[in-house]
Amino acid sequence: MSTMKKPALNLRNEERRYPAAAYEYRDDVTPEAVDKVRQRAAPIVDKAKLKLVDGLGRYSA
Amino acid sequence: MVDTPPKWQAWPPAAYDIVATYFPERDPEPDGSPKLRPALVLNVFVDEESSLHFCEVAYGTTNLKFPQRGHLDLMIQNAADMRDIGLHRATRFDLDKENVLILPWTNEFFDCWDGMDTPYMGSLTEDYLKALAWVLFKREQQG
Repeated sequence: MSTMKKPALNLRNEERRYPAAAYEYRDDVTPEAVDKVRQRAAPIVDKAKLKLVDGLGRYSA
Repeated sequence: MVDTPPKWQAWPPAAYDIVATYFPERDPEPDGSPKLRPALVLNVFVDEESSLHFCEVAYGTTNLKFPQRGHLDLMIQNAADMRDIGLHRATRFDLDKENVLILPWTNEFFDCWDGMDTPYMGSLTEDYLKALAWVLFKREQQG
């Protein structure tokens, strides 16, 4: 059996080179676009009993 | 078959971290999937029943609109600061309340760019924490 350890998960992406796609996000943030994501998340978010663990408290409406 | 959650899902971000999140761009990926972009985590929550973490995020854009939005949003455009924070382009984080939302910390909403192990990109520096606090204070004053 090999005694070599698997490389640990790099949880900060240190020394990694990001792909070109990470440089392209020019589309404006619009309520319509955000609403699409909000609607997709709603079934999970609405039934959760959320407790704040970090930050100053809920900001969004 | 049940999909195994990615390892990074066990390590939720902290408030004021920058993470990669999906956003419905006008021009999606060739396979139709949404693209990733940086978002600023404003708050982190846990579901008391499932223990799943949730993040309240403000999306970033390279469409700075400085004259119109400079006093309303958090802008990061100094090259040294961008490097410290983990951004690759000058970025404006949109702080309009209607554009901020809570998302489950799962790979349906967050993900890693190719070659990365985690959606985590970096964290706001102290100067930008102060800038964020100032913008939020001014917004609060203006109602």
